[in-house]
Amino acid sequence: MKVWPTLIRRELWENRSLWIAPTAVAALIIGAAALSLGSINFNAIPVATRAPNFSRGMLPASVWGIATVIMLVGAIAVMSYLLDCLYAERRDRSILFWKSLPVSDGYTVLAKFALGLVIAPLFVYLLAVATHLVCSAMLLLRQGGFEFLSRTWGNGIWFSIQGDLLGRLVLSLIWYAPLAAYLMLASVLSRRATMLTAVLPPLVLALAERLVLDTTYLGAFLLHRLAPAGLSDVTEPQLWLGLPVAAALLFLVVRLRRYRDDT
Amino acid sequence: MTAIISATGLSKAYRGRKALDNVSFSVAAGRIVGLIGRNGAGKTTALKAILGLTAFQGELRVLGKDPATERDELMREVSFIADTAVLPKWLRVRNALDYMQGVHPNFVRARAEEFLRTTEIRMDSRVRELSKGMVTQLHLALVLAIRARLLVLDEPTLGLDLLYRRKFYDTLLNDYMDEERTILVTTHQVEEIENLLTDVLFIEQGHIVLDTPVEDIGQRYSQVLVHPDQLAAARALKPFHERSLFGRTLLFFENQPAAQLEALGEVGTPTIADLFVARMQQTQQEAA
Repeated sequence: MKVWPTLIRRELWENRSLWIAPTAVAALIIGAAALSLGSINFNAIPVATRAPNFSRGMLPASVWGIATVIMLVGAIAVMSYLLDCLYAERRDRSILFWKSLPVSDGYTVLAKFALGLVIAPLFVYLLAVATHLVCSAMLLLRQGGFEFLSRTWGNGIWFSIQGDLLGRLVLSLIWYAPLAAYLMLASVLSRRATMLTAVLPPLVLALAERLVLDTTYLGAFLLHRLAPAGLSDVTEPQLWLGLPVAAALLFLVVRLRRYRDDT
Repeated sequence: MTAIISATGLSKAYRGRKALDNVSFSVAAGRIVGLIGRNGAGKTTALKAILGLTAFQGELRVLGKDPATERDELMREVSFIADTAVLPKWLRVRNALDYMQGVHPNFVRARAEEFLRTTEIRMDSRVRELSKGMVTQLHLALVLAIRARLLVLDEPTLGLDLLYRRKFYDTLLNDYMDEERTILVTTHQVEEIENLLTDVLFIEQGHIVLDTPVEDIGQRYSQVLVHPDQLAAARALKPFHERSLFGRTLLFFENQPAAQLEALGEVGTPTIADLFVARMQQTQQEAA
């Protein structure tokens, strides 16, 4: 009996795009790098003509560039997963099978949330790290660019960049926890189009506020929460206040799933 | 005799319409109980309440537990097949076994594998590649491998051909049933499970209209096949139902001494299907 790993594996059997989509993008990046590295020879650029920080700037740019593309695809996959995860089981009626087994609604919801908000993003992060390593290795092999690499990798700068990236990722997971829980709420409530269920109520409320009170507090607040604000500052109270909100939303999701197929 | 299920004053309304209206019954260990009723009679609602899938009023104990609050523990000892095709299409047979093994403390994988070997189902098939009959076999394989005390079946053979239906119930009787196990089954196809049931519960418009062990039906109910010339005499004994059969009339009686009936024609015990039809029409007449 390994309940948690089993629950996560079950999610991955159903939602293969969670790992296939970012992996495919990583493969594309590696492929593109393999093609382009052949045509640029960094070692051929005379040292004198290089900007002073040329090679120092190259490394963070390549790390962030690769990570941004892969993580963007990962984020889209995660959002569509969270929107679908409690709706699909009702659409295909398999909820009656899942509920015939001794797995509580709490376990089910938490496993889905943990996969979407923690496990999948960490996988995507590791994928980005691996992709960068592969691209670097190709640079080394293709160009014999040992001199170039040793300069850029020196002083553990690669590790500090990756560490910085990981720190940003963790902060954004905390920042977006309420959004993830909200998407699950839309999923458990939705009867047809999950996307509409998620987008329509806040949109209507924000418009109503604009029309009735002629203010835009709600809209501004929602945009603020959607934008990657507050990610650089750990002391930002909103960052941490989101966690109890996410917990409350998850609690609601668990309660709703309980009798959800009951019509 | 321990009650596996005991319901007292069970009620449930959907938007004002009463699906279950103050229903009480109990199911003893080792029985195979047929919950029989028409569409919308309240069968599925009763099952959902028993399985903790719906909120209800009244007192309900399943294996000594309250399905509303102790559902997770309860489901370790209760297994459930809802009408066919609730296994997700993307699931591989092998992964279905992996999953059960991972989450169910009473699942015996070897038993499921043993049963699957007798079928044409391959381990690496996905549910979407299986025929409807095979999906039901797979579900049955999963359920048979659970050491459960109560098995709840809701129209388990709906839409299957005769061969699979027969196989399904044969397997259930031969490989699953023993004195410690109890089955509660709902179906439209009463004729098919008549010989299997030990008890019947007829449900109509949210009420239990008959609750009896099958072996008592013969003592309580009788049917007589009567020639037209004796029909008037037979009707004088107040049958509760009649239907014509090859120029003769089949009359149904409750608590009527056999000696009296034998003078009128061929006496027998009504089938559960006949009894069901008779009961339903009786309820309708009373309502009218």
